[in-house]
Amino acid sequence: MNRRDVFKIGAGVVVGLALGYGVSQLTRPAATVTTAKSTEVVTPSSTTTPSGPKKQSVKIAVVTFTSGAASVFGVPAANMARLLADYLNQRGGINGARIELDVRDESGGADQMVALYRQLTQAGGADVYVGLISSSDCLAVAPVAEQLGNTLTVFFDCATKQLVDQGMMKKAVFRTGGTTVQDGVSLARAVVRFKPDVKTVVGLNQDYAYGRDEWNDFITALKKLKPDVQVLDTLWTPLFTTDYSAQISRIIDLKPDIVHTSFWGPDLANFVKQASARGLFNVTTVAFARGESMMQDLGDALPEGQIVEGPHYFEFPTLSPLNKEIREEYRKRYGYYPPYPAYHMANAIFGVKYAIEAASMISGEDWPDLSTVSKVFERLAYPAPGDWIIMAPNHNAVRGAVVGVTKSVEGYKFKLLRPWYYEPPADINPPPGMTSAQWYDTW
Amino acid sequence: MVGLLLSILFFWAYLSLVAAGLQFIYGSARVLNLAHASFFVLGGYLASYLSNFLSWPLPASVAAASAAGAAAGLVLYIALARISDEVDQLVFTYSVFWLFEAFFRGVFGYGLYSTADTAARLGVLTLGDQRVPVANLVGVASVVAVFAALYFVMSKTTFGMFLRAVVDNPPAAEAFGVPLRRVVALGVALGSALAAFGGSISSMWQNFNVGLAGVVLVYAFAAVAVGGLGNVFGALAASFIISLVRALAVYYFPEVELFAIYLVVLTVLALRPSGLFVRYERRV
Repeated sequence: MNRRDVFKIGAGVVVGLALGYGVSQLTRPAATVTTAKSTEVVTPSSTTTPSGPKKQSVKIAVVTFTSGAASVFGVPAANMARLLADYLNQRGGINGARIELDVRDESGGADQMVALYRQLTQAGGADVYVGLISSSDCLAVAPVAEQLGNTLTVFFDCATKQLVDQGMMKKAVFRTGGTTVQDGVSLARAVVRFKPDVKTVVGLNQDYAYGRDEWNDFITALKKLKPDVQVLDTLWTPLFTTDYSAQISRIIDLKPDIVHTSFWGPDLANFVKQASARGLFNVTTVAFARGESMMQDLGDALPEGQIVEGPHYFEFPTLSPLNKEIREEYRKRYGYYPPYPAYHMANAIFGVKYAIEAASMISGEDWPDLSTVSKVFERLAYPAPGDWIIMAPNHNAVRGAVVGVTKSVEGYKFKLLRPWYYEPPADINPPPGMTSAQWYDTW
Repeated sequence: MVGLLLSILFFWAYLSLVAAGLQFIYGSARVLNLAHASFFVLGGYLASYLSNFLSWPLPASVAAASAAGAAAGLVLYIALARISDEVDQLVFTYSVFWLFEAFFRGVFGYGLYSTADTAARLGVLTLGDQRVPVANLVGVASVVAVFAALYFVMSKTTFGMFLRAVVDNPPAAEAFGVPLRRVVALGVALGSALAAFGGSISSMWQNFNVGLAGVVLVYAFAAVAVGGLGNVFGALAASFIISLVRALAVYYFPEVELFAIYLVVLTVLALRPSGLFVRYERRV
């Protein structure tokens, strides 16, 4: 081997590492972040304040994965943002201001997202920031957004519970989605409901912060509900693995009553297709924390009788005209029903709209400042297409979840949930002011 | 036990399919093709598209995808032949990688592509309490067939003789009358076809989606680093070692699966930096 070969291998490794950089950013353990505390006094707007000219347009920066493997989440969400911009603009926009979207890619890792946040909100002139799927991106952007403190920032998807357990959202930052606690608890309750005699469990999750959080919350809740449940094995796979033959063999050998997985995107699709071909679903039942997002893509490959948690599901709320209108419009435009990342985006966009409009109504200003909007938003409850969203003083939505069992239904090319039911928020979330660990101890 | 053996076999076949083309191109053209995985992904996308949307039979889809890989490889060679500097070549193939990504996104969008539905119709064999999908057996068989064919071409044909001469010493081969450019062009085309073939076969059990090439490239490099650069049959053995270690890790130490592949690579690089299966070490 000569020096050139060494150089080539070296260069190959460097490029490989560069390509893996995005992945490593996702897998990076979340750092403990100390939030900059600020005690800003809200000055109630006085009626004598001359109101400025009417705001003509509101610029919303939307940051989500539009490239890379996570785009299977990001693109349906970006699609919903575009649809809602048009939908709301036909109906007066946000408090009369026309919505202008600036959709950006979330790829590049947490540092990149912090830089992008600064750029969008400082130089880019974004009035509102809506974004972020990756938990490590949220944990990095939240302190910066709080410190700058001048732009309404809404995380629409990232599910890390650290944002609430560590009180990282105080002034400018909100999250309209749920946490891994809501996923784990609703799924554990569903397992007990649909498989009351469950004795053995195997965990199959991606080896990074999110996968470990999902597993921990699920198994903690399940053990509280069923103390005699035995964990046969916990399997951890690298993010974006394309071959699960070894894990599938292992699970078939162990034959647990339940397999828990929080796989999402391409990993979920690869696992389900390979597991289905190998007959894994004949010997066990799988509980999917992120199954809903891929149901339409998986079609027939997803077998009947599997337990799936939403959090959203397009048939819910059944009687909501808003849901019916938005989901049909979405299907007409993009060819599929909105999966939960799209509903998550709708929660955020409607949250921004109602927070600003309610704050305007209360303060009497055309375009109230951030502290006024923030005070309103943290006590707001509003209708979104996928659910009635209830915000709490910890700046997080107290979200419910749809859980069900997969079944073939005449007229659909993919599995539906039959039966399915809705877990109300209070049953699957710690009360505001309590961390998830404290809450589990009260069970 | 049967399950463990099956998983080793399936992952071995998959890794071999991923790595063979990369090895072949390096062996013939001395170009480390960073766009290699893109040819693999191209094969998977094309085979899935032809099979699902144009209802072509699977063998025809695989053949067409491989042919497209060969054609794309020829174009790559023509562009590469103008670049003599090795660093420039690396940068060039890296750019090609990103061009492919943009191409895939533009043409195939963000969906998941696979021929799993067609593959499921091939049926299943039962071995103990394990179900063995015929599609995976086809994968194993195609690896055996491909490497047998490669062995034949390399050892029994004039082209193979020329190619081996070029691999060992290009200037000397040319001095002895080997049509260097044509041989190398054919080598690159064959390697690219091999990559696309691997992708199209793999589409029976894995999905093709945006961003996949970066994931697959890591697998390919792992097999190449262990097997030794340029040695096609070394990749076969290296794939087996990696598959074995990984399956054992999943069974007995699931916590280390993330590092299992890299552990093999690092161990080999530390003990035998030029790879396990090099015929002789090239020295300056």
